[in-house]
Amino acid sequence: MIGHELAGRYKIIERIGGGGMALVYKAQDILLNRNVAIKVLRQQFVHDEEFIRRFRREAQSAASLSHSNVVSIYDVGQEEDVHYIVMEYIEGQNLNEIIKERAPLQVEEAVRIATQICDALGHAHHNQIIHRDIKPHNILIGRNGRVKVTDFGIARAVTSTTITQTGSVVGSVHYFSPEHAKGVVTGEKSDLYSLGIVLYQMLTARLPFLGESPISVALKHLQEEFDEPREVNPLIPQSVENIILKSMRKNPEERYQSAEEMMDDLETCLMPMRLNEPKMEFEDDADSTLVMPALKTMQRSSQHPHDQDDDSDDDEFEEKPTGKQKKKWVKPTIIIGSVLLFLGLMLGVVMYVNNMLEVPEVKVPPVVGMTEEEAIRELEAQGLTVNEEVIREYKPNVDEGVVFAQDKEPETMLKKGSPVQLSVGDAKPLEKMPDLSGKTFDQAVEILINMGIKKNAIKQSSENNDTVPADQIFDQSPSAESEINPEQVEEVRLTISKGKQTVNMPSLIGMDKDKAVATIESFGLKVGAIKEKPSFEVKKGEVMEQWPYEPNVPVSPNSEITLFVSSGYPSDALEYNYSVPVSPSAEGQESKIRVVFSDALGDNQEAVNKTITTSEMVPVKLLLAPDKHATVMIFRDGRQVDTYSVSYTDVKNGTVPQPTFEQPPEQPDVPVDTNPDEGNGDDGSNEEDDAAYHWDNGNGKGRGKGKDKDND
Amino acid sequence: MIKTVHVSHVGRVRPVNEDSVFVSTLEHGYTLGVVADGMGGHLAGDTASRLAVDTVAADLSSLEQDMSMDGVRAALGDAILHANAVIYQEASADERLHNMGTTIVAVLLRGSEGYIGHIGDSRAYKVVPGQVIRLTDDHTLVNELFKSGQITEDQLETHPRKNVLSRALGTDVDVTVELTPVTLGEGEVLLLCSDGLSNRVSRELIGQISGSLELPLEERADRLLQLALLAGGEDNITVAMFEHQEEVVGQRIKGWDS
Repeated sequence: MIGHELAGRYKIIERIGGGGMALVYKAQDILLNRNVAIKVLRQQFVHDEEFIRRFRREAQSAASLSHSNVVSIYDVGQEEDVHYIVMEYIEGQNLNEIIKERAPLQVEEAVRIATQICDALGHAHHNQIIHRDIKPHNILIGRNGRVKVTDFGIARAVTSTTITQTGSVVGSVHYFSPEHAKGVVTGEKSDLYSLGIVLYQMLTARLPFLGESPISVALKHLQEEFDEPREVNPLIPQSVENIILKSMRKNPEERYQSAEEMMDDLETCLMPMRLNEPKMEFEDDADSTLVMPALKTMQRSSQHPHDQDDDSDDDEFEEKPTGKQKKKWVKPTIIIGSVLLFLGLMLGVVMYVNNMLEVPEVKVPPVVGMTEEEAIRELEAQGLTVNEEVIREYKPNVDEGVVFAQDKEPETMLKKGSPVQLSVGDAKPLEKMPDLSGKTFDQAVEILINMGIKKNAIKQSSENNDTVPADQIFDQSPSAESEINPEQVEEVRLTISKGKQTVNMPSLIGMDKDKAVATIESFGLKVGAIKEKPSFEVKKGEVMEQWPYEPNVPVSPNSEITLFVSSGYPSDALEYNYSVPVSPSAEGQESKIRVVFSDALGDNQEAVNKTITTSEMVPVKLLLAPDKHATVMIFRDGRQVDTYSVSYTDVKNGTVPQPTFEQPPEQPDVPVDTNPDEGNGDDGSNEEDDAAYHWDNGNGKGRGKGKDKDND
Repeated sequence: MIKTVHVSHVGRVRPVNEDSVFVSTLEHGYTLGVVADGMGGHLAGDTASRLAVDTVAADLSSLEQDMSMDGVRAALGDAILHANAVIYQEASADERLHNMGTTIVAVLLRGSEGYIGHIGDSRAYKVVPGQVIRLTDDHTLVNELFKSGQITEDQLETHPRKNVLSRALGTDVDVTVELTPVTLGEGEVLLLCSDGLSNRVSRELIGQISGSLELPLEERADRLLQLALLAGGEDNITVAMFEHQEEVVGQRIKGWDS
């Protein structure tokens, strides 16, 4: 298998593990150039179609899980007889190895690991996947300390197939829940029970239930109590013991109801306010009837109804009958027994005193550099005892759990049984997380790196914040003042303000009023005031100005926007239809004529640009304001030939001089005023109807001539 | 005289028969019967059960005359433990046979008296007129649960982990053989079977058919097999039967003298 290229893609590098059902290899994914772990089904199972089908189905459903604490499944495949699952490769150890190496773990570390397992379970349960085989072997700890749970759903594939039809031997049952051992339906709470056992083992370095066979262990899960964790390791805080006690209840109803609930407890159990938590109490009566074998209870209750709920005297039932039979022997037995007991005690006392007087001396062995356990074993092997109050102190060059001093020098002679004081390296004391709020990300990174936190553990994200200026940190995890071990912190998350949440100011110019209001509201802004303003340029009812934000400027939601809407031409503006005469350079010849005028709407507007052969009148629509006179210029073949000026006063008073053809070149008899349909000639008399319009702001209706007229 | 018969059938569902059976009348009036039900997947299951049967049969092929009952007990127990070592070794040596194992139920009779040795959930029944007695206690998880009062007798039959063994031959270095004495009176029948029969055919029916003395022994074995097949035949089915047949006194003595 080694060196083989599975599916032309995964080059098998080495074997890294294996279980009853599959072998695990490290391989390289040639396409993605990354390491992967490949689980290959053992040969003897590849002909069991039902099993293969389930194996694949479970693997595929587990592949749907995507969580930072779950080993990702990349691929499920088959190459001829080789069925395999391609998984994320985790460089590191599994929890079983860590427990063997250095349990009991520090409480913080154990809780941190359990929290991450719980997080993974919560995600899986949310996706209707029950692990069913939570045990330290299935929990991988990466080099970065990240906990990854593997083999989701595989246990189910194995137990529910024809492989077990003939029967299989019970596997490792140390982490089985009672309901699992009993064979009834397993569910989310079974996983939580198993997690409780893993936590128990991390903190006490032992399993709660041991037995010579898997069956006896399974039965203990069902009916025996375990040594409480704090009896084994008094360093466990009560709040943490409570978590173990609750998750390991035999009755699933008494356990955590969900992974989330357990997770909440795990996350808060080391907080200072939970320091003095009382021990959790359960209703033991219900429990003891549950675990007591039914048969025994029946026999007992018929004979001794009174001691039914006293479960410390299991032997009593068997002893009683013999006691009755031998009743006549009771008295002599008691007398002889008492005498023997008394003599025995005396002998004991004498030997004890003797021992006290003649204690042999032993040589103190050197134990500096050993682990605490080794040192204790070594000292006890020499007949010395170890002072129970081991001094624990953090030393930069001493690993946790390693002895760095002993109070009695090696080679000195001590009385057997004398205590030796050991000083043992402790975990680096935790540091307080600094408050980084108000700092920039770069400042914070500098502070954190100086504390010893790894640079790649520092993550940032940014969010809008209405009160904190942009680029300043306003939230952090771990929170300020929380205790951390800088070297082991996996992730420091800094949340940086993006400043206020903003929207890009839309451009409202040119919209009609209603549309502008709707646009403002659709952007989450507010309409402040709508003001009307006369304008020559902007059509009445259209937005001509927005205040105070220009388009594309970032704006906080709910800002007030003032709109300036055109009310049309100013009320004193006058419109006037003017006609100017144009003629070709010679009658009948082509000339290019251009008429340009300036008025209130602007300078150098073009009225006409065309080629003519005969003289004619060109109408020009002028708009005049009190401060703006109009001028009309005529160009022929590019040269200015005439300029006319129209004053506001003249228009108002109807005294505009009418231009005529100065030199009617060839046909002077052409009447000037017969020209256009508009009949400009009698301007004086027409004034009220035609020449001037009064723009009345009061009724809001503007009226214009020409094209504006259509709108009326 | 002990009359014997055995049948083994792959069943209707599984591709391979992982059961093995060996029945033989040995010299000096000994009778040996072995039924094994292998497990561990392709190749492994049938290898384990075949190794179990072959080893026990070879070890017990030539027994000294007139052993005591203790001697019979020890010989049978040793042969089964030897089979355990052989299977365990083979499984460790070959990756494809990883973790293989088997059940075993074996009987060694001197005349009409002897011992039954068993590991796992293959069973031995003794059928006397009007009664069927189970001689073996299953080494299964459910049976342990039942014995400790955790589940009821009804749940025994329907338990989802019914097939999980608490003890098997060849999966561990150490194993304990459970040895039970047995005596076959005239007209009594001893039946060894794999769970392919006992899971499918009720104990009453097994007793009724095995005890139908008017039928030839072969016919009875075949009827039991057909019943298991009719009930689904999901598993391999194996039956071995031993009947102490009534006969003329003279013949019997003659047989023993030979």
